[in-house]
Amino acid sequence: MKKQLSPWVNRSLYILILLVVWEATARYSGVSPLVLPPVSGVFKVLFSSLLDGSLAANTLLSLGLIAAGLGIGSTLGILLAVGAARWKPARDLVDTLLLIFHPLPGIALFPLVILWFGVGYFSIVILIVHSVLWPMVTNLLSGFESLPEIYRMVGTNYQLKPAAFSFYILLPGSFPQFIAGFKIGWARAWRALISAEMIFGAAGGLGGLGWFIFKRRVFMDTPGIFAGLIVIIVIGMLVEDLIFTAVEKRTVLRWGMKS
Amino acid sequence: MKTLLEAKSLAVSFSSGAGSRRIFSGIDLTLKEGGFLSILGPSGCGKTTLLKILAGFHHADSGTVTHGGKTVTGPEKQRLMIFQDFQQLFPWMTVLKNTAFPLRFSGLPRPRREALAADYLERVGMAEHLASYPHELSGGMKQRVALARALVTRPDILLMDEPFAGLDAPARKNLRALVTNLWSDLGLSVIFVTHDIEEALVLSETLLLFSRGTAKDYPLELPRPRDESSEAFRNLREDLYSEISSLRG
Repeated sequence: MKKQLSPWVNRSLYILILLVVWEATARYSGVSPLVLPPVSGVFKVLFSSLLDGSLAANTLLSLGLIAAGLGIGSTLGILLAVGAARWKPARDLVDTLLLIFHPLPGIALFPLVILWFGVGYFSIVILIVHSVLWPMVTNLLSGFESLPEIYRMVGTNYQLKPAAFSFYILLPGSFPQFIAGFKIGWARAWRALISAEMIFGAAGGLGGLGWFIFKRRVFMDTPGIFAGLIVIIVIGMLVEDLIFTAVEKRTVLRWGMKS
Repeated sequence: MKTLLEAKSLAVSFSSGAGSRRIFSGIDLTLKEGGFLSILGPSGCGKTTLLKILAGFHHADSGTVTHGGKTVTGPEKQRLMIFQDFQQLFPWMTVLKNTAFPLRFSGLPRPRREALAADYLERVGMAEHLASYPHELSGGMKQRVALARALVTRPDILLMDEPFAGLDAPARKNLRALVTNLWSDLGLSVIFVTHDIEEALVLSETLLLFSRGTAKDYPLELPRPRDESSEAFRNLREDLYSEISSLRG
């Protein structure tokens, strides 16, 4: 059997080319290092700010916030979707809420959230929950609707109670859509988080990756800006490639539920 | 033997826009304890609809179904259906977990549930596949697991809806032998829907011919083990063929 090369072989090559082009441009084109610092300089700042704790602490803060928001958002999403699946009036309510909130960008809610809850971690978590909740509910509902009728019949034949049916059949049967909803939610939440940190950091001195980048600009620390961006990119890659891929391998791919 | 399930003058029609079309009417049937009743008829004659009414998934327009003397109003775990659809197993559970699933609500501890499930999986010849997922199995293997899952709670009645119809001939033959053995070893009571005359003759104790909206009992006196090449078997098969042709008119 031919062994498949990891996509990372090709990706690493292109990343390397990009870095070389960047370094060459920074060094030989005469562009001011304030606009485009050399890669070497960026990595120096990256390591020093990871070592002195300023970048590491802000990264951990951001990850903590997004974990809390994703956790709360997907739990609420599951509750809303299961409620809507079980009870017709709840379904109508959830449909209406989706109609209103699903298209509403989280960033549009900033002023209102600040007005209502002030500048603080609670407000950031609310914005993340908003980013995750609606795509999660939409995807779960479509998963419930595409659940094969035969699983329902098996559940009915065993006289499962509604809660047992939801937990053992409806939710696992919709796991591919749950993951899809979670991925969309993660992408939206990550954007909302970085923007929120920039705005809330400026207003209330809270930390986070967004604030880290924003502060570097104030000090004209361009290598610092790039260092923050690299951390954001690396986290995005790790989540997509390590976490999501690993979860899919152990679940929907293992179960033959994803073509 | 005591009567386990009884249906009296069942009638069903489908209403579609302008008028209603009768599917069948005046159906009576009886399943005794330890019996094996096959419902034999061509595709699209309403056999599956009838079986789903016996299971409680559908309601007849008129007539009654009683199970153990009690009127059937909906599906119950004492009357389990095994479907034709190979996808009746849960893809997110291994073969063992699928089979142990119905016991989850029995109050038995997990090791006990899984031991029981493994025991039934061995009976259906799936002992080597406990850790497989359904998508890794062939159609015949999936139906074997479905059989084990249905047996693990020892329901009063198994309702089998052409479970082997989608399989090739050798697999069907093996599964017929398996069902016959399980039926006699475990003392099962089965209602089996099929359009396959040989299948009905190999498996059944009693036979209900289903055609053109009505049903007719067909006497079946054939010793076991059933030998498809014996003269008695071949005569009965010929007779059954002509009976079915005459019913079709």
